[in-house]
Amino acid sequence: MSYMLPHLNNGWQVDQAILAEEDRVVVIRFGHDWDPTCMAMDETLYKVVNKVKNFAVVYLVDTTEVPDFNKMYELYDPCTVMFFFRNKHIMIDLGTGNNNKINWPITDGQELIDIVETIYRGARKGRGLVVSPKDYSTKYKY
Amino acid sequence: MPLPPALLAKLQQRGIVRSNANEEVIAEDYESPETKEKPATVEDREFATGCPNKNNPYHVCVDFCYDHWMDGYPEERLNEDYLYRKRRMLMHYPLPEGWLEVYDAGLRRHYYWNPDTDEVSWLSPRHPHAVIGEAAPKLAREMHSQMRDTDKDFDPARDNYRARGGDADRDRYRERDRDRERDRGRDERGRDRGRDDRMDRDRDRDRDRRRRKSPGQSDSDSDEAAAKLDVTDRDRLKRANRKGIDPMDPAAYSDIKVGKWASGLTEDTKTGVDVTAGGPLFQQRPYPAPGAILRARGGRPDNEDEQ
Repeated sequence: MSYMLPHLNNGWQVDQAILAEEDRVVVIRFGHDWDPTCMAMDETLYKVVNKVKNFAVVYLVDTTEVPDFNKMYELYDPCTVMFFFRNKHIMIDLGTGNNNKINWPITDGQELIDIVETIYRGARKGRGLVVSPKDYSTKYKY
Repeated sequence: MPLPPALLAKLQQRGIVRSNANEEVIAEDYESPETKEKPATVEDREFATGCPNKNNPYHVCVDFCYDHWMDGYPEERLNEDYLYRKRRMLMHYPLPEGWLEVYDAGLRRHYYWNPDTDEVSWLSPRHPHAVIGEAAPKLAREMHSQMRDTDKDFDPARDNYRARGGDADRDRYRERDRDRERDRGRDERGRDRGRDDRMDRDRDRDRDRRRRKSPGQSDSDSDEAAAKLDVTDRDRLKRANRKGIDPMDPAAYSDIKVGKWASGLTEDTKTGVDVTAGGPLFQQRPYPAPGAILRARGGRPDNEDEQ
């Protein structure tokens, strides 16, 4: 579903996309459209993009096309989702140890909506770190 | 005493010597070698026949070259292996009409010369790898006079011999000669083996190209190019040894710089976040905004004009 979502083709566009949003969370997926992990994530993103359009906007960035942020954002995973609000990176405590980003595909649309909404609510209050409604740590699996 | 083939061909071309009956005319032409080899003008370069460095435009043969190398390496003492390979090459690729085989006493190799066109080649001109070019002494002479014109202070003799001791010079010569010998051996072997692997072949080809140029081109600049382009691992290790670098250090055998144990580590960790943060702080380090990253990377992004 990556073709249904807007792509950002260079660093400047990424910057402007974040700067342009006054009152919405900017969700950026870094990765490749052809990557299976990204495909799964894009599917979910496309599913929710209409439901969250009042408080969030979704963009896709190809990390090969736009390598500017690879090093600074540590974009080593096939698929990375990061959140920005008012030109600020919003961290989210998912219980995984990495509060900076979601680096696995979320397949449940409602989960993603909840995460984005939590970020929106927290960021509106000026928080830089919010706690995810669901704990994604692996401790319950084992 | 037979006439050297190069000279013979030249004389034949001028009509001084008849093509088959050359023995009787030799005597009257004894002064012509002088006039050919060392042209009358003082301006021209002279060189010792045996000097392996004679075709180098940066080198002027000094007394040492004449004393030490004399007439060069005698042809009859050439390596049997080399002669065998040469014969085999000529068997596969016989010389075309008008080409002559000439022995270079300084370089200890035979080359092939076409007196009509004055072209030379290290390999038989029919050989697929042969590079046919102009003669090195001619080019060297041209380069030499050019250098003299452009640079008044240019005095290669001073640089070559007097500055260093004669011994150092001789050692240098000897080493270079040995290197060349070794190179040649390796190269020929590589060619004969049928070139099993690609890397080897590429390297050989490079070396071939460089070396085969040398009759048609000045030695010095091809040597320089070689130093830049094709430094073998062995040479690198030698160089490292000279500089006192541990041979196990990657800097000894690759292109990377000499560094300490931690050198490569800090560069990779240069991310947007505070790398010194540890523990609970580690999870609370936000990334900078994309705009800040772009500014830190030097203002304008690469493809702004696409906007």
